Amino acid sequence: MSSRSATPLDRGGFVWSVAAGTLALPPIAQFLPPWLLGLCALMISIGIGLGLRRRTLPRALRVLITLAVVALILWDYGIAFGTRFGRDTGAAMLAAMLVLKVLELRTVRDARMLTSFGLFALVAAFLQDRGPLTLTLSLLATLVTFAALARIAETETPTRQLRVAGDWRERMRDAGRLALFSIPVALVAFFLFPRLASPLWGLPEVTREARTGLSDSMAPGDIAQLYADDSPMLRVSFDGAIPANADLYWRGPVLSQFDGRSWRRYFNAGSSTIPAADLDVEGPILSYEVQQEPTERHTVMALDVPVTAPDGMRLSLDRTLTSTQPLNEVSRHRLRSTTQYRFEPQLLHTFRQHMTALPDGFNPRAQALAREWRVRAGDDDRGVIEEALALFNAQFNYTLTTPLLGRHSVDEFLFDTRRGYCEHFASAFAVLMRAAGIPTRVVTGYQGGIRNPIGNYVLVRQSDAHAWNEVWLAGEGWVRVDPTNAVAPNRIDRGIQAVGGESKRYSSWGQPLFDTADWMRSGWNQFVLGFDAAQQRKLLRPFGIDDADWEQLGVALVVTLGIAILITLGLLLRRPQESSDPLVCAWRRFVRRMSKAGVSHPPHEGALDFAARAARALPGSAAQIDALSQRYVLQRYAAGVDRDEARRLCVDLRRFRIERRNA
Amino acid sequence: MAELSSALPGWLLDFAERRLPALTRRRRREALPIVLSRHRIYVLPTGFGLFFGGLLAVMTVGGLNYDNNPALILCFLLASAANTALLYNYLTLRGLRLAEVSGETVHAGAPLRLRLRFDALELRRRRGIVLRRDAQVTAFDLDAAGVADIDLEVPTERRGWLQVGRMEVSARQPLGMFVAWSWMHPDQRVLVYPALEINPPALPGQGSEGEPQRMRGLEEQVHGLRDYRSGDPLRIIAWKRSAQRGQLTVREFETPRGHDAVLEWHTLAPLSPEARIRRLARWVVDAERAGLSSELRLPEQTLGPGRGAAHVHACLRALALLDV
Repeated sequence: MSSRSATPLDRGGFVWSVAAGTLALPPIAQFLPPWLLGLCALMISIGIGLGLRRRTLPRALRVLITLAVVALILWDYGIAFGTRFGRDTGAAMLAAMLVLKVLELRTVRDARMLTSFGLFALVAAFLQDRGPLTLTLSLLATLVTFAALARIAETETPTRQLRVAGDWRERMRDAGRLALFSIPVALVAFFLFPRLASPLWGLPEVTREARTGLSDSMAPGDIAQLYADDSPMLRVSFDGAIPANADLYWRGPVLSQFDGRSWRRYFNAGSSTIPAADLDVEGPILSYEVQQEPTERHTVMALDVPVTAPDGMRLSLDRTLTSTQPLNEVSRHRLRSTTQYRFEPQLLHTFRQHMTALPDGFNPRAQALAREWRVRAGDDDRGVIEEALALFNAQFNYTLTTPLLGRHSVDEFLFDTRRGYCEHFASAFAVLMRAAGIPTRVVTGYQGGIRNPIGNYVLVRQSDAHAWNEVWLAGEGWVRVDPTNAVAPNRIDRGIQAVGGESKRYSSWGQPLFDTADWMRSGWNQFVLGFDAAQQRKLLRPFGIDDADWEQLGVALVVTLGIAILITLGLLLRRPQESSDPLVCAWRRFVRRMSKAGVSHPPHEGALDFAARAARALPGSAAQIDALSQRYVLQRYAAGVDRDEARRLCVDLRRFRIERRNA
Repeated sequence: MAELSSALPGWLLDFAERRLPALTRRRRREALPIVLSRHRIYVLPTGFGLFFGGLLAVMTVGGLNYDNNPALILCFLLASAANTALLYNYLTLRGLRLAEVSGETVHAGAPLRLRLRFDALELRRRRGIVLRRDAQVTAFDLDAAGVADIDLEVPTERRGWLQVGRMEVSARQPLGMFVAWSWMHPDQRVLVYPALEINPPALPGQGSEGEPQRMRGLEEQVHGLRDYRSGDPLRIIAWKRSAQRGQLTVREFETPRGHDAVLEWHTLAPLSPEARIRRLARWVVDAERAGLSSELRLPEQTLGPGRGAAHVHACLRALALLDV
């Protein structure tokens, strides 16, 4: 066996192996720095050039190149983010090893190493991205790998009278057939192979760039970053009608601690010992399902105010939903919320103090202004709020391009620049309210969304990120106030596009296309990525097993696997289609019909001889058999083809039935 | 295995033959045709198959751990493809039939071309079937037509019967991860003539006058054609040639009248038996070439005098099988 593996690779085998190895690169290529991609391309070209000339680099040079590439990668990634060997470094190494293998591709064994390595790289690519595009690229590379392996196996077969020709299309067809026949078993394994409820070892570390999204703090400019990001964040399908856009406030982290520059969460808000604040529901409860893209954080975005927390989640004091596991994958949650409520009607004194606290020595002008309003409005908190909103409405502009603000950021915003976006308004409004003694906090999250009529859901994107406020009013509890609304009502009614966000508007034909694509991606998330151990346990529900255990799944796996293998076997056993000519097929059918009646057709016998014999054996159909076979021979062997006659003959041959003359 | 077969009681052997033919047939000869059934086909992973299996296991555990469904789809597809390839390997051999074995007789020392006719019970594309007999390897495909004539060049060393022997058929395509194989041991033998001595002494019995004379006869071998003369019997007329020439032509016969070359085993006493056989074989061939009739006198039998291919074959066969 070892001697066989050392069989030198022939030209065709070399080309196929390089093709398979190269095609394994694109899925990981998205995560590689450009210089490495260039290096890969260069080395593959050198490898192809050498391989086709049957030359090899000296061993020492190969080792040198390998060491140099490894060192380069470690240096680049080491400088970039510490000395940690992360997912990205692994991907870079893998890509480098793959192309280095091309440089020493000489034997059958090398070729098999390269192709296997390529498959490994494909799987590794999924650690970075699980999208349908990566899978498509991977499946394409897998097909080519099958073809390459078949080609390598042919090289290995002794004596070369074998089919070494065969163009690439035929090879790809064979590979495709192999993959196609393998689908039943693969499907069964995918759905029934026991999944792990909890990982065996740690989840991979965060990549070079942490995912964007809302965090537990808000510093000036944080949210503006998101405006440029059109990637999806939530897809929400409601059980009933979709509420109006102005009601679509997706609650994220609630920030109540201000240090003069940035807002943070209350340090105790996430604590499990503090129960969620009271909520009196005063309207209908909306049920909906949220599909949330991975954030690698814990916050689960929910509509307005969630009523209950499902399993695996907690409602914190400020009624933010948090998941116990970080949301590293696309996750789906069934949630219940309300938009009409009395939220925390009784505010504890300590909380009240916390919600009105402001750091000393910041924003003196804003505080003075608020105190002035308080004097004017007396005990009427609503009056103070109105003053603030009226100020915003009269003198402020909504824009995404803002000048940098200094130490007294709110003062400068309120009295000097007067331009900003939701973050500035929410922050300034909170400072003003707190200065006037009204408990106020900043809520970050998303606002609005695009209705997708195809999937009947709301798509919320990163660019829909928003910040607003909640004020506590006696007798009413926490009430949402959105100061941005006072400045740019369009922002709330029509979404971020209405106020010149950077997101694209799609033309009339582009929008349905976009909707369809997003709907498909949503299905992908739901049905492909969403399948996990919990879903698997529910699989046997149609058979009356609500929560299948390990053994029941095992039995189901074995049984269905057996069926799937039989299907594959059946597909493999199909008779080869000997001819694609419909006339020949029809004739074969005609012949088979007669073989069943006892007149077999040995391959050496001519059509007319056979027909004569058949006619004698089946006197009932003699005339018909004669006529049909005459026509067949004429059609098939005479010069010139009469297409109409051929078609008629096909029909007649297929319609032919043996008439038995029974006494 | 031979010891095992002889040590087993008959009924057990029968049972084994039925259930595990691969075990017992490894060394037993079988009558043609030999059909490969599922009882006698083995499949094992190759070195590459084992390596790939290990790699696949690592990838699958990784996919399961990270609950990475696209990775799992790919892993399961690969595993399933390996399974399909295994079935394919097995089906390449199943139903394969060795229908005929024939071989052109040659003189010992020359390679013997064994012609094996393979066909299949189930019509299916079968690719990359490797046939191995000792050191001789060849590979063939069996396409939709379903018949393949395979020539296997077998070196010959000794005169006498050459057993076709045990042959291994195996299949590794399409992925090379598995090898399916089985044994075929046809109960067939091919005669190998003795080797011919190189530079032998002249044929014995050449001294006496030996010009073959022409003579008209009816039962002898055709010597040539001549024009029809009145009085020639009708049945010696060569009708076809007559038609071609447009003139009646008759066949002329001859009976060789030369002295027989008498090839005597005993006169070669000083030589070793094998050397004698080689010389006699050579003489038989030489006599035929010279157009002489020969008579071969062996210890236990005498052949001839005679001429012609049949006589030569009989002589060489006797020499090939001579037990000394």
